[in-house]
Amino acid sequence: MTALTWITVLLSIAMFQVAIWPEQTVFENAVSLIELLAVAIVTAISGWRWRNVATGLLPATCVAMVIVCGVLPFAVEYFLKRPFLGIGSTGELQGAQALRNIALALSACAAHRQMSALAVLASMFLALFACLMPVTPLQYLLLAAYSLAATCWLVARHWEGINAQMPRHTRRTLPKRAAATMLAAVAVLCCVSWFFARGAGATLVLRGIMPSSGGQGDYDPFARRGVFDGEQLVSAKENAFSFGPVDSEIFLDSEEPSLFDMFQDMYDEPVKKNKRSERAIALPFRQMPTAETKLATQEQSGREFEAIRVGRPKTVPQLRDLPAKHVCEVIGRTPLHLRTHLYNGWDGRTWCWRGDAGESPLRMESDGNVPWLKVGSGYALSKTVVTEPHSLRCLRYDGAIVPTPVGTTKLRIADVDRADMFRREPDSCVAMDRQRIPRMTVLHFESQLVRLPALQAMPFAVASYVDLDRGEDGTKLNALTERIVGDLPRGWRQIAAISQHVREHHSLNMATRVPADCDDAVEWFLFEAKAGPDYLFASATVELLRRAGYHARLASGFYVQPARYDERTRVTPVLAEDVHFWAEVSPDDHNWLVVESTPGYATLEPPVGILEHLGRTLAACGSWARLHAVTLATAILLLLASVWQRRRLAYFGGWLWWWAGCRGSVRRHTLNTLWLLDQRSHLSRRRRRGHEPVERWLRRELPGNSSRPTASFCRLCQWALYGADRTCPLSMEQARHVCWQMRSAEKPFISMWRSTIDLRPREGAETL
Amino acid sequence: MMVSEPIATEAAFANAHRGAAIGGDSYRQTGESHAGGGCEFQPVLDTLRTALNAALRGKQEVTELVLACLLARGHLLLEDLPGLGKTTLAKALATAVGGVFARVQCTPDLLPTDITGFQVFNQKTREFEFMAGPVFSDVLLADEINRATPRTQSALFEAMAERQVTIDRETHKLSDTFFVIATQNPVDSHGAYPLPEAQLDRFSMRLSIGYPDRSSELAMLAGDIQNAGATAAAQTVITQQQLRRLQAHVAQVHVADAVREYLVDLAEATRRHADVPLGLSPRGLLFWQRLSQARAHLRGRDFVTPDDVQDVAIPMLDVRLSGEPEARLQLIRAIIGMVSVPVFTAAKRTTP
Repeated sequence: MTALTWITVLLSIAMFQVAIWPEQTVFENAVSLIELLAVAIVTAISGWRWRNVATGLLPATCVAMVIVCGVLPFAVEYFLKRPFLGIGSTGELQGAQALRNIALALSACAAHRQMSALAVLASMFLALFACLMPVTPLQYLLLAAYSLAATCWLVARHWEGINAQMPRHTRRTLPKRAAATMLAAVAVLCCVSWFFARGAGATLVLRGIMPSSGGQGDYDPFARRGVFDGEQLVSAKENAFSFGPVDSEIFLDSEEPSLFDMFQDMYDEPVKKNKRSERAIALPFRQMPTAETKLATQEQSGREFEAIRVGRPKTVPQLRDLPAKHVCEVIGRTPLHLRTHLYNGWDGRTWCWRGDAGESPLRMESDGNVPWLKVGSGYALSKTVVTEPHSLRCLRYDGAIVPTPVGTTKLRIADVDRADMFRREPDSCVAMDRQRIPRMTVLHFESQLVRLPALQAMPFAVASYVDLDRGEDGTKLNALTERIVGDLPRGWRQIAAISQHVREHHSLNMATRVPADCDDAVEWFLFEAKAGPDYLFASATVELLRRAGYHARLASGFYVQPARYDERTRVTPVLAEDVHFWAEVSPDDHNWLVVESTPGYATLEPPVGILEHLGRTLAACGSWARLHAVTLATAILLLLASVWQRRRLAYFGGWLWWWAGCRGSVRRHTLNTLWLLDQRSHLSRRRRRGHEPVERWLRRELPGNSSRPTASFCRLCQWALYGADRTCPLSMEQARHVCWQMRSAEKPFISMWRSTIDLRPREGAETL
Repeated sequence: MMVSEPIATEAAFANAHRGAAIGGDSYRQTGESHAGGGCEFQPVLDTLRTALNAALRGKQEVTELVLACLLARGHLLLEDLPGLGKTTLAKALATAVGGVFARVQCTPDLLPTDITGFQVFNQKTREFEFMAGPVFSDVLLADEINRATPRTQSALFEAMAERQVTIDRETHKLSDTFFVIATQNPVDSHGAYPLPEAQLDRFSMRLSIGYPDRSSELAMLAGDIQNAGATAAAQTVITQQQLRRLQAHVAQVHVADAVREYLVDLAEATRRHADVPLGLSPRGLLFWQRLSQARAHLRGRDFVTPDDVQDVAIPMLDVRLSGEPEARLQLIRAIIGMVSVPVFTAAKRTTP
């Protein structure tokens, strides 16, 4: 059997190696063969060592070797081949190589019946994998040899398993235990599925359940076609709005005013006469589509079946448009503030923008081969600053101003490599140099987020605003500001205190309107109404921040709500009602930070790593522990004492139980005592073995096993357990006395040696 | 799971199978008095014990099991080397319990009718008369039973199981206290016919006597000199009527439900065990319960405990399992180790 197992496994490995040989370069094959050789040598040595391990548990080293061999291909891939050799394999090939190594390692234990079966099973999957690859004549030969060897193995296994004897009896019963286990497992599975799915479809729940099956957004440069998410989705052929948010589709011409017009710029072909025309960018010829199929428009997110790709005109369905109500969709972490307008002038009633942009001019910069539009200087990159990527797909957004995440440093639209396609608005927001951003345009952003410790340490420049002095009203606001700021150190703590004050002392009410005769809406909001819409929250925050000496301004745009995140499409839609106002503060008049004081709204924080998350949790636990220090300390001390004295506690508890139950009949008293001794033996880890009768156990455990009390107690126990209505061998007094002696006996049964009572069974002892 | 601490019976059997002497009186070390219980038959039993122990020195455990077999109305198979006292024990027992004693020396030419009896034509009366065989006795010693042919061995089937024989369509009742003691030599197997399973299942237990210990042998030698080579004459200590009453009394020993379930669990364990080709039969299970009752009575109790069940397990199962003696012993230990003794489950039933 061992030899057959080896032959079967080696043939499957040969099939596999022959199958993958053309798929890899010579260098890759050499590396793979070296790895295989190493595993084979280790396996051969181990196989010689474990040649006699036929049954029972496997040695731990054997199990470890199987695990190591299984992990080896992945380790070689990610720690050697990719970083140092610049080569790589697909995920499927790595898995198959792991299977190959496991089959080989299991062959080392081929003498073991179960391991032999597992090795052949693994070899079968390996052979199946090899058959899925392009088959060569040599593979046919190997496949025939493998089939022969596997058949021989099966026959040998069958004959080995036959026990040369007739069955003694047969029993046909319903496997109740197995059925109950199965039902319980199914019930648990259903509960777990329901808990995780909760109405979501199978597509969503099972997404990514198979490795390398795609759908997780992962990207692998060594993946085969159709594996992982690939470079992008399938490009559209002619109509720019046919498919999902892929950068390629916006290259195309359509009836809609497009950002690109390759025909107009590159060739003299007839141009589709659009009633509206705007600036476009030229694209090279190779990106011109060849298909002429009329395609439908799909504005919703998600992927569709690519029936049009195969070019079967008669089967192309009449696709219907799938309109979306979303203004735009965001891919990335939320909550997110998408800024569209800024305001820095405030007279108590109206916000406006005063002055020029004051920002650096727009320019393109290249990050690798990808052109990016530099829109902000940002902070110097360090561990305290996190770069956050976002993508935005414009749908019903009808404007040229780019909704930009606060803190954006650069943005990109695929193949738009000219800075003059954009412009700065007067309020320094970025806009495209056209009337509107084309529908379905995908914009990519990179913004910066600052970690909280860095924010708290950040120096904020002092700013003074001349329009703050508005008569007596300013006095109350100044006093309020001073009261909020108090003794807090200047910086983010003061800003957070102001934001927190506005948030906690006022309620959000979108229907509240400032009276027409009100001269200062902020003061009315802060001191009279105590409620209002979000712009009053933001205005009040800006006002208080400015009075505290900070650069602050009002911003409006869209608030991307995390609650709207669509798990199926993995985008967060932005609706028209998501317009929002918020305050912004700047430490240096260049980089701005969101100060969100409206209840129910939050700001995007830098991603928290596991360690940081752990630290936060620990800090929270620490603060809770400080608050309940006395209670906690008492509980811990009690717990430690209980653990330390657990045997004594259990001993005492057992004694209490015995004491409570010993007031009944002699039989109950005896059984209670027996239970007590059993519990004590359990505590001393010398519990009675299941097959051991009570008498033998008691005589073994009790030091005075030949003494009269022990013998009497044994007889008493036997009577109590099996004697039914037979006469008790001892009188009631004697029985209780013996039980009492046994109760007080621990490891050395000291009290028994002092016994002086006559425990001889009496004639005509009482019948209980 | 193995029984790590062999019980006294196991030790006796292990020593016997190894051909070594059994040292000491392991049974007495349990500290339990044989005279306990206050039964009216206890003096008779003590006398019987003494008589058997006098005939077979240093083998108290064996004599206890022989007595248990007798009280349980079973039959005994003694398997041991020649000269270890098999016949002596059988004769001493037959003499002690009184009644008719018969002995058959089994040989290959022994016929079934030589055991059961046969019809003889009386020339004088010109009628067929029945000549009763040795089976019509109270204690039958079948010496070297494996020397008889299977056909002759089978002649004992009906007699052992039903205490009757059928000859020429006529059924003859045997004694109520009919007790078969068969011996066989496990070493010399040439010209021997191993007993079939059906025959073995009719025995209650198989015992090996083993070599006596040093002190017993010294006492035996000294006794032989004192008696001037003459064999001490054994005396009858119990009448057949007393024996019948005693056997009936033993059959009334209480067996709790939990103990009965324990017995059934053990029987099922023998049937489930992969190394046991033929599990315990219901007849064997009945023997087991009777032997446990007898054992409990001999220990002065009127109810059976799992200790009693385990004490008789080895000789009782030994006769029903195949294989080498040491392997059989290991197998029985494994089977006993597989089944949990009812303790607190029994307590729940008995506690009001």
